[in-house]
Amino acid sequence: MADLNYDDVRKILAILDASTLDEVHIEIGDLKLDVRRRNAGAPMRSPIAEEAPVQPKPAPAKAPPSLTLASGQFALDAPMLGTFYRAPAPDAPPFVQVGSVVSADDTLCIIEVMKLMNTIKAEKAGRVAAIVAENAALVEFGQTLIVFDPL
Amino acid sequence: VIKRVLIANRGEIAVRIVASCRALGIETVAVYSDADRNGRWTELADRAVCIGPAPATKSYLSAPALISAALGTGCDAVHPGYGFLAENAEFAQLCGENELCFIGPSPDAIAQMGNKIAARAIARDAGVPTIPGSDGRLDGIDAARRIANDGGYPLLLKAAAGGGGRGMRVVRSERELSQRFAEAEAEARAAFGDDALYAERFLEGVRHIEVQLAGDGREVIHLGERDCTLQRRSQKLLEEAPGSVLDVSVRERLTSAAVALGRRINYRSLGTIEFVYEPSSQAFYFLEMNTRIQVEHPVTEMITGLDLVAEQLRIAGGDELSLRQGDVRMRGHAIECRINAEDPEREFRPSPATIEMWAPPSGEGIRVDTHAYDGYAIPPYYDSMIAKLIVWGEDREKAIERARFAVSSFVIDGPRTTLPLHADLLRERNVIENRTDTTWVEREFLKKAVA
Repeated sequence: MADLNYDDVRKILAILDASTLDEVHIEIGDLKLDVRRRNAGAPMRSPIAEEAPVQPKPAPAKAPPSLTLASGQFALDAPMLGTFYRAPAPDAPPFVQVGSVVSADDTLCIIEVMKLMNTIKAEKAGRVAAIVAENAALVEFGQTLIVFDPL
Repeated sequence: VIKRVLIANRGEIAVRIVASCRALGIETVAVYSDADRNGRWTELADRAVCIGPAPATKSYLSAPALISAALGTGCDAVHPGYGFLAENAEFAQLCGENELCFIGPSPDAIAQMGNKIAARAIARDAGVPTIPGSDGRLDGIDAARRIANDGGYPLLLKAAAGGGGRGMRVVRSERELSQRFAEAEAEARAAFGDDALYAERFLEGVRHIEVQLAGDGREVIHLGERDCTLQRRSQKLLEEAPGSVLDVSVRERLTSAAVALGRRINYRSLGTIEFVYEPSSQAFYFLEMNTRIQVEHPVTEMITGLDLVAEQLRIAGGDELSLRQGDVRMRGHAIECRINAEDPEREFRPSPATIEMWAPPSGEGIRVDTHAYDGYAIPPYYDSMIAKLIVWGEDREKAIERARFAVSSFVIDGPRTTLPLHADLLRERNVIENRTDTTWVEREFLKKAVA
């Protein structure tokens, strides 16, 4: 039995943290584990950082990485802090529901920041597997909102 | 009455604000950027919210993100700390419009004092001496020439909208004027989007002395002065309270002038009036007013026994001042050393490394305000200050002695820090004898260290 216990997952996360990798994909028998760094793909650079002789180690995420993502799944993380809305109006149907198939550029949700409605669109096609964030609640920057299955 | 405060800042001041809120039974919501996930303040607050990515413009300087975070977490007040949006009148206004109590003065007071020319005019109206110079924006280079002809060289050109030394030029003679004027204008335009300049007599051999004010909109009192003369490139390194170079009559005139200015604008919050002091003539001149809690507030706390952040919170909540002028007691001498993750041997280059070992000093009369800890990775995106070491002694000599001990027993492995700089400063004859001025560190102390 290739069981993966909590300690194993912690070790895997430690390896990822210490490495420069942004994603780790592990398959042991039927079990598939995808770990992705939250800020992957968006390396930040500041003038100070370029001058700095020593780069700090990457900060471990406050919330654990989304371990619920199965192989091939991908997630929409909040690109800004604000209030998460699933529908364009309180009595309107939601943009997407579990099972909805979306194409790139389809509207997924709205994040309101001080009465400014930011329309959040799909980056690529997929099928909605889960809506993690609660409607009309505050979502933080980087918080996972919607999980997708590949088509 | 304030129930829950959003702390719109990071680092040691966020930790400091949590402490005073807790003492007053106020709940706290911390904020952090993506680069600050392991910030100590996020653990200490009752709740923490990630407001944006690492760049400050998208996190700690984002008024919409901060206001949304405050509203979304049920806060009724916002503490801006220092830096970031602390002296941004629009942010204070926006807080009010969203029924959030801004812990600071009114947007009008921030705007008035944030404009150097307006502030100077108010100071003059309150009878506070100002540095001889242009009464407002210079109307071209000829206006600057006229001022120099009246008051003499050296002349200092400053950006009207400015601060932090940008858009600032010293003109030593008529010959230099046209070039320096053009440089200052260009720099002011680039830094502030406004090339208006003003000119004043450039004073040399001066000290930086500031007076701590507290006002509740009805009464304004002072909590003594601080001496922040030891600076490098207009950045304070070490601060003290009280200002030992002042004699009783000068101190009386200086603090009275500061109070008069605070009263003139019916000031309601904590604030600081900065002065330059010329020991040779015992004259002092108004420099600017800071409408926030300052980095160096702990030296005042150490000699008065007051909690300034708590006082600021109470005033913002609508309370009257908790004490009258006659109740303010001062005892002993306090010194603050700013510990920055910078390499003093390599032109103070930032050193944002992981702290491998962190052993702050402790004991009677020693206080360390910090957000750092063993294993803390200093993010490279923000201010390099990682701690403030504050000591108290019965007099200045004993405070210096204790500061030497505290600095030498403070162990920080990993980043380079300004600890060795403070160790050297505290052994300098000029520092011990209190014979320094605002450019002494660069002009003499650092030159000697290099040689």
